[in-house]
Amino acid sequence: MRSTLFSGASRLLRYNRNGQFLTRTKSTKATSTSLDQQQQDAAARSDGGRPESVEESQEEQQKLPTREPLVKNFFIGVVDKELLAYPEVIQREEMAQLQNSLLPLKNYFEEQREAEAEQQKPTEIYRQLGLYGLNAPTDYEGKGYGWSASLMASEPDSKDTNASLSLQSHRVVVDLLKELGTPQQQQRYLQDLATGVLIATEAIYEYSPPEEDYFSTKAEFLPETGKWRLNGEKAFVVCTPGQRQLFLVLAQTQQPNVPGAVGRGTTIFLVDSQQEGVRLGEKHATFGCRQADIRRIHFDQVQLGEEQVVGIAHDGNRYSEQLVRSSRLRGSLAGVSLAKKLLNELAQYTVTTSQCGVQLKDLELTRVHLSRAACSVYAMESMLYLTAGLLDEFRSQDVTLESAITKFFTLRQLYEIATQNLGLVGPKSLLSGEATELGLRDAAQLCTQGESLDTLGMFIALTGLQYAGQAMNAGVRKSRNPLFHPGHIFGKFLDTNSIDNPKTKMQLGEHVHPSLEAAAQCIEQSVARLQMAVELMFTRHGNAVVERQSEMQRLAEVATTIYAMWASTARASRSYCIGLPLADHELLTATAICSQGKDRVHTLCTEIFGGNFVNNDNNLVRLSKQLTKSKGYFPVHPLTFNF
Amino acid sequence: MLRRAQCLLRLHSHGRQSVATLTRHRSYSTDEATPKQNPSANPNQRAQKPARNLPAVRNPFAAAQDRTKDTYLTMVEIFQERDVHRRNHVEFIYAALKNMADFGVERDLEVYKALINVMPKGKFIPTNLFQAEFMHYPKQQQCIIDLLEQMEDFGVMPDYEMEAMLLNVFGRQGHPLRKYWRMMYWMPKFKNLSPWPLPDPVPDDTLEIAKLAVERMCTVDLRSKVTVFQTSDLKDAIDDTWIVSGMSAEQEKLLREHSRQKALYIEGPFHIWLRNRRINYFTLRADPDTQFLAQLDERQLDDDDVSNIEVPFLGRAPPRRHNQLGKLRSVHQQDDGTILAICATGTSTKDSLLSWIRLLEANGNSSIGEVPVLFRFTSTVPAKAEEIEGPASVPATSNARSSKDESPSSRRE
Repeated sequence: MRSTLFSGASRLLRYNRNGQFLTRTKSTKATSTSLDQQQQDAAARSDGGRPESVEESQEEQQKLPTREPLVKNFFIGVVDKELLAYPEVIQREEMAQLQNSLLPLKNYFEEQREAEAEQQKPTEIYRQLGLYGLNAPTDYEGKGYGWSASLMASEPDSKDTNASLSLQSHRVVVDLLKELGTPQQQQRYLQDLATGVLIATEAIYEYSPPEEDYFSTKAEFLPETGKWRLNGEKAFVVCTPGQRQLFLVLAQTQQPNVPGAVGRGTTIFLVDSQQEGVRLGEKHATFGCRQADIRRIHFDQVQLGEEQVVGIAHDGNRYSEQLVRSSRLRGSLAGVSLAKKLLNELAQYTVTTSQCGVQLKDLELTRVHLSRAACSVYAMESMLYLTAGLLDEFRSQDVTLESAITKFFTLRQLYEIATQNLGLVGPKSLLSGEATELGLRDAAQLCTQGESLDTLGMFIALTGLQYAGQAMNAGVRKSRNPLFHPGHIFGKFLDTNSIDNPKTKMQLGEHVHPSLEAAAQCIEQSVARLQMAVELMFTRHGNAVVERQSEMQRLAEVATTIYAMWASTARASRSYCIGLPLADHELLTATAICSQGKDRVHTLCTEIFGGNFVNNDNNLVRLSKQLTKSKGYFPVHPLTFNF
Repeated sequence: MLRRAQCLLRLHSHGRQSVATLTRHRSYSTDEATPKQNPSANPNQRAQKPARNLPAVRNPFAAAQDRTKDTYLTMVEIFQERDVHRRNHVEFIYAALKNMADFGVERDLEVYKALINVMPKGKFIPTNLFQAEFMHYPKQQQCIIDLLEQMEDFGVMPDYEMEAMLLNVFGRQGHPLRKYWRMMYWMPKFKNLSPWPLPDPVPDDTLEIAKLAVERMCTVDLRSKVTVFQTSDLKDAIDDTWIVSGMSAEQEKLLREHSRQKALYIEGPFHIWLRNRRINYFTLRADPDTQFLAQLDERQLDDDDVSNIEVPFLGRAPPRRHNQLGKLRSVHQQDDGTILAICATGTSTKDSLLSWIRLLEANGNSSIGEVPVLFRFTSTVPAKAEEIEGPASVPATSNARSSKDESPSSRRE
């Protein structure tokens, strides 16, 4: 009986029986714990106000109706218990097919060492293997995989971090074109992209961004010719020299007739490398991923037609969500694979090495370290496929936060694992050519590829706060003006909910295997704490909360931890219920993740509650003032005399 | 007497460079250090009491020809060796303190130590509780307290050797000791408290001081750059002098964005004091951009509204709550005007200021050539000071004679 609950397919059946997609039945409604009805309504209203995409493809319409965003709702203390069922989006038969078709890929990437000797160009082989068309629609000779399937299919190539950088970048552009491209654009590019004749890549970031604008690459519209003229240069672009390439360029544009900062916007362009004025610059001498070709690209008076604009001109920021969502998800996959590889190598090392007659694997320190790393990898993987599953299962599901969190968590943990290895292996680990050294280099490179982790953290917190702000606005206004709303404040006084002892009525334990009851309890409490922290931050700072970056960084970590707990619990519960191999250890993993996560969330939320005078932020901010004034380290030498 | 002084002088100048100084340093705390061994060292106690009507002691300092530290120390030494009783030594110390500035030794710890050394060791140490409580030898104690007070006023920090000397003279219960300990508690704390430490000694060159002054004022903006121009770089400058100009990248931007129709003002001279030196400086000012400032007025914001928080995509700078376009008020945009640059010139004349504007134009601020620049040689500072402190306490500057002297600069091409 219980096991049926966990399968996505069963959920599909239930919806079909009801026959209505958009109205949600009572049972499927998200559970509210601490919100009053008014706030709920506000949340629902804001949800409904979101512009729906104009036309949905056949594929989209087969999906289940949109659910409320999962992690965003954590910020207002609401959980969607249904989503504790780990999504099974690939049907059984499809899965068998998929696994069959992945065999050659796996073989190739495992035997790559010998293949390299043949001196055959890798791009040619990738083309033959169909790596360029994994996520392109079948109409255009692609494989037509969805999110989960294409991620699974790109797992073999992601084992080679260098190759995966360029392949993932290609797939991101394909994703974007699928979603935003006009039929003409799809007609024009997708076929070539799917077959690998044209290799796409993002060119977004710049070497030195300007002080005032977003980008120093500028495009202007010439009304007389009806064309755009693009000028500037992009950096850190993963290229495949010698091939025809398609660059996805974000450029600064100025709306006609709107002067000044108001009319400033960004526009997304597709630029063919064979166009006049496009020039590959020098290769960056990067720290890691040295085999990947990371270059500068120069655009010199490139003439672009109207049809090379993706989406609406000047409105690129609106589409950046789709762009970053895809690149975050696909970027995380490279991280997961690298982390897995590092962990496997380390496990191998500890088993084979013994020091002073003791095997490394028997030392407690080593064991704890290995298990920590394993927990991280487990959580990363669960988050990645949960997010992809949400995208596949529900129609235009909002996974902005989920994807950002997946990348944030993956990269941070990856770097953690890579540096922890140094301590275990010792000085040998940094000799050039060692696997640990390469792993560390690649991990560091992945951390800087695209957006930095700090901005990603800010993004997570801000997105959550934006959503929560819309839902909580009325309550926050009352709390901030207590004398005008005595009733509200009185209610708060009577409230016995505290950060150390949050009250929850979510009953998440009902939706997972009973062995994970404790883990579910951890999630419940953490969500409640997150909601309390958010409400407190709003009450304390009002909309100045956006300036409290240190607290927001904590909030981001809290949200990340909760999502990791959620995804791991969901996955472990499914595995155990259907009896996958070693599922009991998965239970253990999920329990470990949850109990550690609960403590972390508790600590962070207590820090937020303490405020900047208790949690040391104030001291640090004050120190930084002198630091900038002295332009560096300010204390004098410890042995200085004063008299 | 005179010959002896010369003789000693030579001896001193000899010893200055070498070990002699060292040995003298050491000697203070050790010679006659045993207080109770020699109770009859000063047999004639009544000689300590000054005669009321007579001039206490001939002031040798007023008569000295060569006013250097060496002469000063020689005179102290002569006094010490003149007779065993050291009659009138309190008066001598007061006289010596008064004349320190003339000899330029008022910031020299060694000199103060030499003066303390004049005091007999051991004699003034109280031997019982009552003596200790009722200020044994009050006049002598007060004299040394005044000496220490003068040190404090001049910011001369005592050292541990001085403590030893004072202990030998007055014992642990002496009031000068208490004063000394209090000084040693506070003075090290105050010594480095200034956020704008000056070099010690402060350079004597006006250009160097002007540089320090402008640098100090420029600390409001960390990106400020202080440049020294020479007017001789310009073809037809009348004054040949230097100009210390301070301007930051932010100010350059404000100047670039300044409307070509609105005038800029050169105002001054204002004063800034560095220790005991005054520097005149001038500002290049624009009228406040009231529209912009009103736009940033925080009172119009609703802090409570959390329903539209902006989220930046793609690694853009995080938003600020006030005006989401990211425009911020810089420290230079004050309510009463926007300060675009400051300068100090060697002559503080109108011509040197004109040269300043032209040099700014030549050094990357081309837009200043298109803006009318007005001179407004009015300083409110002397007037204000007069208001506060009474007339004639701050000297009026040379340019302050006509306070409404506002003349458009005739720009020579």
